[in-house]
Amino acid sequence: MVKSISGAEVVTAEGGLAKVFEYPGMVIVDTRHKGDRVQGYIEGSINLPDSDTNCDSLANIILAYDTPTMFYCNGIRCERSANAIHKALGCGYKNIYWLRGGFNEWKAKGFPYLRNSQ
Amino acid sequence: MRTSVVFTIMAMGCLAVILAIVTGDVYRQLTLENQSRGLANIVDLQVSEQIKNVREKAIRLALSIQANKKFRQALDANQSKRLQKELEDQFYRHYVVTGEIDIEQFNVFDQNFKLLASAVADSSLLSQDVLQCYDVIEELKGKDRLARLQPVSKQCLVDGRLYQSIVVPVAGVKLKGYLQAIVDPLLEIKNIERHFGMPLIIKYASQQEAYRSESWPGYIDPDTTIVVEHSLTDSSGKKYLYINLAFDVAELHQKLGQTNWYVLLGAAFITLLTILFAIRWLQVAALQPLENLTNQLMLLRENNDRLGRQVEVGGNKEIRQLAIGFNAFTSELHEAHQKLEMLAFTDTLTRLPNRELFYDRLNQLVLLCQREKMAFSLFVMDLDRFKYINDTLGHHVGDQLLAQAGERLRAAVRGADTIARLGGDEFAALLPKVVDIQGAMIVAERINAALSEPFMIEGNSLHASVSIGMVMYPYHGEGQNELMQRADVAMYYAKRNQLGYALYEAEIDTHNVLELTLETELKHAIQNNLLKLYYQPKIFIETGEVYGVEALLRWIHPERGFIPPDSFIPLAEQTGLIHPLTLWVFKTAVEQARQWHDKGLILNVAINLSAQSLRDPGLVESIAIVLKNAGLEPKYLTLELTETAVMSDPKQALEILSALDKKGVMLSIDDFGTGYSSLAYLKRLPVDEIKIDRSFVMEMDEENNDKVIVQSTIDLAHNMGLKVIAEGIETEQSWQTLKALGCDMGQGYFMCRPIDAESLDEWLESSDWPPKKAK
Repeated sequence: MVKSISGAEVVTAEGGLAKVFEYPGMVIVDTRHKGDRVQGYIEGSINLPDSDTNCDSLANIILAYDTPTMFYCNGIRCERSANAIHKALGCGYKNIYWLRGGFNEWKAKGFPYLRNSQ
Repeated sequence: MRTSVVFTIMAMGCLAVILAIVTGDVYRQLTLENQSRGLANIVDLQVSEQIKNVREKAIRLALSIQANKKFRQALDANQSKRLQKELEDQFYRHYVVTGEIDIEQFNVFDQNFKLLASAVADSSLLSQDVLQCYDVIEELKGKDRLARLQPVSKQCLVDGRLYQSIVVPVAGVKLKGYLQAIVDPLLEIKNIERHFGMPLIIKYASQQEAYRSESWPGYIDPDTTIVVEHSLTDSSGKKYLYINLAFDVAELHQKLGQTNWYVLLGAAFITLLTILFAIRWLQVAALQPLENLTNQLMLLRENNDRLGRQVEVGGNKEIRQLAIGFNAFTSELHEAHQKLEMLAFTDTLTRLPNRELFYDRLNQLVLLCQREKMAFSLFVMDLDRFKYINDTLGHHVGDQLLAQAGERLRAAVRGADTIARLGGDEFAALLPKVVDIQGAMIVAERINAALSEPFMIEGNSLHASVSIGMVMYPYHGEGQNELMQRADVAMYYAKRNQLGYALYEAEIDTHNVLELTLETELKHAIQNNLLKLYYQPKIFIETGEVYGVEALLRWIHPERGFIPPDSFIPLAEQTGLIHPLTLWVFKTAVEQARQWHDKGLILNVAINLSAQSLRDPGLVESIAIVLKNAGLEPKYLTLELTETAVMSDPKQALEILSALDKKGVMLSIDDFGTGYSSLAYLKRLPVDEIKIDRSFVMEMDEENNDKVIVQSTIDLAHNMGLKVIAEGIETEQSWQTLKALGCDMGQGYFMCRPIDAESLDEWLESSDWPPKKAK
C-alpha cells in the first residue's frame, strides 16, 4: 500500500478542506469510476477515472501546471488516486494534494457530500 | 460432669449455626446491593449507547437528505416552497415509511442561519418549539468555517420532554446552509426494554411518564424485583430524564436462598461433626481412660488376683500420669501380696510350694475332679541318698542338693503341674493332666532321668536318685489323705525294690508289716544313734601284737533285743537306708580310731562294705571327707569287701577299689574261699590282704581238705604279696596251726569276742595281747 508519493502532499479531510479554503480555485479530481459515485461525492469534484487519465485529459480540467489539485478515490485501499497522481506528476503538474483516506474518510467525518438520486 | 460438658459443646454448636445464619443474611443483602449497583451501571451504559445511536442515525439521515440533488437544487434556487415540499417528502419517507427514527421536525437554514423551510410531525408544535431547540444553531454561530462543515448535536427539553437536536451543514466544499433534525430519542431508549427483557418506565423531570411497559408490575415485591433508576443530567447537573427498570431477581433470590440454605446445611453438618468429634475426643482422652481406671479398681476390690495387672490407657497427659501412678501402685501391691503369699505357701529353700499349699491344691483338685468326673495323678518322691549326703557333707550341701533337686523336678514337669516340698527330702507332684498309667510312667521316668545326673555341689559330684510312689485319682483313693498315704506306700515299695518308681497296688499295701515296722524302726535307730559298733581285735600271729580291730554293727532293739546284722542289712540295702547307715558306721569307727590314736593306741580299724556301697560312686569322696574330718591317716582304715560283692560288678569294683587304694586306704577281701573268684583275678585288684573264711578255719583241724585250702591260700597270697588273716579262731590248736602255716594275722573268740569300745579299752589293758603302741 502506497503511503506517500514524492511530489504530492498527503492531506486528511480537514487538511484538504483547509486547502480548499486557502485556494478557492483548487481542482478536486475524483479518480473513481462513475458507478462508485452513486454513493456520494465531494461537491465540485471532477470525475476523471485514473484509466482515462493522461496529459490531454488532465489539461482539459486543470488550468495551469501550478494550479492546486487534490486527488481522491474510495479510500486507502483504492489505488486510483495514486495512479492518477503519478500520471499528473509525469505530465509536469505541481501543487498536487492527495486525500489518501478518500471518500470514506470524508463521509465518516460527517463532512457534507452530494449524491445523484431520483 | 459428662452431661454438662456435652451441653456446653452443644450450646457452642448452636451458636455456630446462628452465626452462620446471620452471616448468610448479611451476605445476601450485600449480594443484592451489588446486583443493583451492577444493573445500574449496565443501564447507564445502555442508555448512553442508545442516545449515541439515535444521534448517529439522525446525522446519517440529515447528511443523506442534504446530499439529495433535488433538495440541493431547491436550496440553490432559493425556492422556499420547493424546499418545503422536498423536506416534507423526505420527512414522509423516513418518518412514515421507514419509521426507523422518530423525527419530530426538520428545519432548513441558509448560511446566515435564516430559517428557509420547516417540516413537522405535529403541526401544532411548530412555531414556538423550533425556537426551543435553537441552542444548537447558536452554538454553530460561534464556530469557525471548518468546524461549521461538521455535524453538531444537542439535547433539548420542550415542555419537559426530551429531544435530540442535530444540525448538519448543507455543503460541498462551500457552505450553503444548514439542515436541522429534531428527533425524539425515546424510541431508541425504549429499546432497553427489549434489550434487557425487563419492564421499563421513562419519566421526565416533571415526573410525567414518557413511557411505561405494559408488563410493569403493579406491585413491586422487594424480594423478587430490583428497581434500578437511572437519570440523565444536563451540563448544569439538572436531571431531566429518569429511566426505571424493574429487574426480576426472583431467580437470584431463589438461588441466594438456596445457597444460603446449603451454607446453613454445611455449617450445621460441620458443627455436628465437630460436636461428635469433640465428644468422642473427650471420651477417648478423658472419660474412657477414667472409666477404665475405675473399672480396674472395682475389679481389684473384687479379686486380688488382678493385682499387678497393668492398665493401658490413652487419653491426655494427666490421665496417662494417673494410669502410670495406678500401675506403679498396683505393681507394688502385687509384689507385696506375692511376697506375703510366698512366705506363707513357699518352701524358702527350694522356692517350691510347701506342704500347706500342696495340700490346698490337692484338696481343690480333688473337689474339681469329683465334680467334673476327671482323673489326675499324684506322686510322692523321696531322695534316696539324701540323709547320707547330708550327714556326710553337712547341712549346707544337703540344702543345696535339695534346692537343685527341686529345680530339676520343676523342670521335669509341665507348668500346670505342681511340685512341692513336703519336708526333709520328701517331694510331691500334682499332675492334673496326667490321667492314665502310661502318662504317669512317662513323667516318672522323666523325673528319674532328670535326677540321675550327678549334682555338682561345692566341687563334689553327688549322686542322689529319687524313688517315686504314684497314685491316680480316683482309682487309688478319693480322699486326699488316702491318696497321700497310698502314694507313700508305693514310694517305699519303689525304694525298697530299687525300682525308681512304683504305682500303688493293693498287693504292695499288704506287705510284711514287720518289715515295714523294722524299716521304720531302723530309720529311727539310725537317726537316734541306737545302733552300736562292736570291735574285734585282729592280732599278728607271730608276735601276738594287736594290729587293729574289725568294726561290727550291732542293733540292740529295746523290745526285741539283739537283731543280727544279717536280718537288717539286706533291709537297709533294699530301702536305701544302707547309705546313711554306712556313713554312720564310717564316722563312728573312724572317730573311735582317732580316739585310740590319741591315747597312743595305734590301731587299724576295719569296716565291712556292702555290695551296694560299692556301687555308690560318691563313696570314695565320702570316705575321704570322713577321714579328713577325723584327721586319721587312710592307712589306718581297712575296708573289707566280700568276694561276692566284688564279683557282682567286677568292673566298677575295680574302679572304686583303685580309687580307694590311691587314697591310701587298706583293702581286704572278706570271707575268702566262699565265692568263685580266683586268686588270679584278685591279683588284678589293688587289695592288701585276704581274710580266709571262718568255715575253713574252724574245720581245718578236723578236715584235712580245709587245712590244704588254708595252706595253699596262704602260700599263694604270700606269693602275690598279700597279707593273710584268718577269722574264726576259737581254739589254741587253731592258733598254733595257723602259726605253723605262716598265717599273718588271726581273729576269733579264742583271743577276744566282739566288744564295745569301752570294753576293748579294758581288754587291751588287761589281756596278754599287747596293742601296737605309738612310739
